[in-house]
Amino acid sequence: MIRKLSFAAAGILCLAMLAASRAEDAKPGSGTLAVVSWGGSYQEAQRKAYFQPFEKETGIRVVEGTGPQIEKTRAQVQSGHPEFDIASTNQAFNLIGIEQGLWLPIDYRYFAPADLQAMPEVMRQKYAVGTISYAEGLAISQAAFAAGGAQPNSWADAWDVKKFPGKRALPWCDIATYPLPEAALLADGVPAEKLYPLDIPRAIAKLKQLAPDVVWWHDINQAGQMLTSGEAVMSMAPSNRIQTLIDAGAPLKIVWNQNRYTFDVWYVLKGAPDADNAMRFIAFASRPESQARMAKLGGYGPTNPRALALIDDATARKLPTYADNFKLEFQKNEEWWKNNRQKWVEACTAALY
Amino acid sequence: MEKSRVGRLIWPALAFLASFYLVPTLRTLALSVTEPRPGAENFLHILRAPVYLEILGNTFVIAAQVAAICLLLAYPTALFIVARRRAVADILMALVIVPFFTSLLVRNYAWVFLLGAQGAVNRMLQGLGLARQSLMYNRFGVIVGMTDILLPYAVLILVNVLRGLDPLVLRAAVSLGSGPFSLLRCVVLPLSRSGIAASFILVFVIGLAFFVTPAMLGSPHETMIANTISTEVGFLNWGFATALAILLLVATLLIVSLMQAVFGNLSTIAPSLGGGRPPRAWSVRLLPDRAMTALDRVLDRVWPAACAMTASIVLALLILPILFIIPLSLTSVDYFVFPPPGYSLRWYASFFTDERWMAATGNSLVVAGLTACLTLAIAVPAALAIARTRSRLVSAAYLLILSPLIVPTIITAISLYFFFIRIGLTRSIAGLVLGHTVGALPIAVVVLVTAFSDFDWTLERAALSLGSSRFDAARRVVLPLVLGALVTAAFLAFLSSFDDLLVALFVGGIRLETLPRLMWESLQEINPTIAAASTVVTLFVAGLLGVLQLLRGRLARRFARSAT
Repeated sequence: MIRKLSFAAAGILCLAMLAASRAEDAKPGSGTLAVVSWGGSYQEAQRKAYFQPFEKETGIRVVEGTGPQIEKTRAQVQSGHPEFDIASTNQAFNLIGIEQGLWLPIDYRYFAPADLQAMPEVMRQKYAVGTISYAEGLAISQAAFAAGGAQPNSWADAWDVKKFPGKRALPWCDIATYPLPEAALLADGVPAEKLYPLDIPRAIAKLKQLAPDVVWWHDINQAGQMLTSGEAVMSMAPSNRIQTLIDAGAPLKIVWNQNRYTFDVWYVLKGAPDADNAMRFIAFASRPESQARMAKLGGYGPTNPRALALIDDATARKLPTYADNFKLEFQKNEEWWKNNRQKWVEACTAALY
Repeated sequence: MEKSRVGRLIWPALAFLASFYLVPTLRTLALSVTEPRPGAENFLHILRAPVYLEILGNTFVIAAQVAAICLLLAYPTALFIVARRRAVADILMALVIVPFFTSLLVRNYAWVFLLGAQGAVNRMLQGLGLARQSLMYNRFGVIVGMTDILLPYAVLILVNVLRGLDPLVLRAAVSLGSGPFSLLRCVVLPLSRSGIAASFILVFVIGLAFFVTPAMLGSPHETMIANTISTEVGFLNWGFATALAILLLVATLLIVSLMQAVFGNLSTIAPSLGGGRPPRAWSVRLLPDRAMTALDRVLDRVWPAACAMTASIVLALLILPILFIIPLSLTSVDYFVFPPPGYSLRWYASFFTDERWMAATGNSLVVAGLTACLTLAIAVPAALAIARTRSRLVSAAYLLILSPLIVPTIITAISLYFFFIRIGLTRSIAGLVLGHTVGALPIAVVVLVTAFSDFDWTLERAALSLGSSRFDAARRVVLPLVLGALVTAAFLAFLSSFDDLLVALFVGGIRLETLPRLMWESLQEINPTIAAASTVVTLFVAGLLGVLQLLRGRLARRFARSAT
C-alpha cells in the first residue's frame, strides 16, 4: 500500500511541479536590455558607470546577469532563445563565438562620429567593440620587497630566485588566458617585438626552471589573495584586480614593465530580443564620459582615447593606458592564442604535471 | 511478497531517469563522436596525448586514498556515536550534519586559511618552536579538503547501519565473554559489511567528480579529470570534453565492477541479505586462534579509547573550518585575510539587507525541500525493489540510478540545460528540482537500499499473518524501524540540492539564483558577505536540528503509542 502511495505521489509531484512553475521569460520589448558580465566589484563599477546613466538618459531598463559562460550562451543562441542581449567578456570568448556564428554584427549608427574616428580600428571590430583595457603582468608584495629597496622590475627578475627569494604565484597551464609563455620567453631574453609566434618548447624549458619555486593558482582571486596572505611574494595577475586590492589597503604594487596589454569586448548575441537597444547601449558605453567614469571606479583603462582628456592625473597613473605605463607593455596576439591554445595547454600540462 | 510485484516498484525511478537523465545525457555524450567532425578523432587525441590518461589515473588514486581515509576515520567515529546515550549521540550527529550546510566553497576557503604558509596551523607550529610545514597546494591539502567534505556521508551511512544491528546479537556476544574489540572483530564488522562497502563506494565515486577542492587546495599534480573536462567545456571543445567524460565513465564502471567481484556479496549492488536470511558467519582473523585471543585481550582495553580519540579528531576536523569562517565573516576589510585587521558586522548587515542574498537563500530552501520530497517519492519504491529483488532489470536499474555520481556533473548540467531549453523549463523552480533530484537519487537510494537490505522482512510477514492490512503493517511495523534511514535519505537529498552549484548555474537564470550560485559569483570577487551568509545558514541549521530533536522525541513516542 505504501508502495502504491509512493508511486502515485511520485507521479503527482512530477506533474504538479511541471504544471506549477513555468519559465520566466526576459520579455522582449522596447523598454529593456539584458546584459551579462563578470560580476562582483567589476559589475558594480559597470552599473555606476554605464547601466544606471544609460537608464536615466534613455529610459531603457537594464537587467543584469552574472557569469557569461560561453557554453550556456552557445546553447541559448542555437536554440533561438538567448537570455541576454549583450555580453561583456574577454576576446577569447568573442573569437570562439565568431567561429561558431553566435554574434550579431555591430551596428555603428548610434556612435558619435568623433568617437568612431578616435577609436583605433582594433577597438571597433565587426562583431565586437572594446569595453575596458587592462594589463596582465607582474604584481609584487611590498611587504616582502619594501619600496625604496630592491624590487623586481621585469620577468627576468621574477625568474631570479637568488636575488628575490620567495614563492611566485603563476596561473596553471589550463588557464590559457594569461601570458605564461610570454613571460617565460621575455625572462629568457626574447625581445617583445619578436615574441609571436611563441616558441613553445623554449617557454616550457624556462618554466621548468622556475617550477620548484612556484605556487600555481587556478582561480583568478587566488592571484591577489596569495599575495595578501603571504603565500607568495610575486604573482602574475590582471592589473585591475590588483588595483582594487591596493585601493582597499593591501601593500601590493603593479610592475607595469612587460605587462601584456589587452582589452575586453562587448558583443551582441544572435537572436537577441532587444538588439536595437543593445546597439544604443554600446554606443553610449563608448562615449568618453562613460569611459572616464569607469576609469575612476577602478584601474579600468578606456578604449576610446577621447576619454583620456577627462581623467585626472591621479587616476590616469593607475591605468594601463597611461603613457608611462603603456610604453612598457606589449600587445596580446589574440589570433595566435585562438589557434594554438590547446597545443600550449597540452605541452605545458605534460611537462609540469 | 511476490518478487515480480516488488520488482515493478522500480518503474517510477526508471521512467524519471530515462526522461530527465539518460536520454539528455546520451545525446550530449554523442557529441564526442560528432564534434567538431564526425569520427573518433577525439578519442584518438586522448590516446596520443598521454597526459590525459595520467590525469585520469591520478584522479582514481586520489579518490581511493580519500575513500580509504574516510572509511578508517568514519567507522570508529560511528561506533563511538552509536554507543553513546541517545541525547549525546544526537548532539554528536548534529556536529556531523551541520558542516553539510556550509557551502563546500566556503569550507574549502576556510582550509586555505588554516593550512596556508601563514595559516593558523603553521602559526601554531611556529609558536611551539617547530618548523613550518607545507600543508597546502599539495596532495595533503587536497586530501584534507576532500575528506572534510566527504566524511559526513561516510559517518551518516555507517551510523545508520550500526544502529540497525540487532542489539540482542550484540548482547549475546557480550554475555559469552566478548570484549569491545573481539565484539567488533567477530560480530559488528561482519554484520555491517554492506554498510562498509556502500560507504566506500559512495565516497570513492563522489570523490572522482571533485573539481573545486583540487583547484583551491592542490598543486597542478592534483589536477583531477573533472577540472580538465570543465576547462574544455569552457572553451567549447564539447566533443573532446564529452570524450573525456566517457573515458571516466567507462573506467569507473570497470573499477566498481571489479570491487564487486572482489568483495562478492559485501557490495550492496547484489544484496543477498534481504528476506531475513542470516549472513554467512565469518570474522576478521589476522592471526591463528590463540594469538588472536591474546591480541583481543590487549586491544579490548585500548579500543574504546581509540574510538573516542578518532571521533574527537573527526568532529574537530569537521567543525574547525566552520569556526574559522566566523572571524572571517566579521572582518572589517573588503577581502579575506587572517587574522582580520579589525572587526565589524557590516557583512551581516549586507547579507540581510541585500535582496539578492535573501532571494537566493529562499530559493535554495524551497528547491531543496521540494527535491527531498520528490527524491523520497522515487527512491523509496526503487530501494524496495532493489533490496528485495534479484532480477537483472532491477540490478541494471540500480547501476543507472548510481551513474549520475560518476558522470561529471558538468555534463549532466549541460544535458539538462539543452533538454529544458527545448521544453521551456529553464529558469523555473520545477527545472531546478528535477535537475537536483537526478543528483540526489543515488545517495538516497544507497542509504535506503542498505536499510531495506538489513531489515528483517519476516516482521512484516508476521504482522500480515496476524491480520494486519498492508498499509497498517507498513505504517506500524516497517516505517518506525526504517524511519532513521528515511530521514537520513531525505536529509542527504536536501543537502545535495542545497549545495549544488553546476545545475543551478545552467538551469537557473538571472532571476532564479540559488545560494551556492551567488556564493560562487561572490568568490570571484572575494566578498566577505559569503562568510556571513555561511555563518547565518549554519546557525539556522543548527537551530533547525535542535527543533527536529525535540520533535523526534515526540514522534517516536507517538509511534510507540499507536503500535500498542
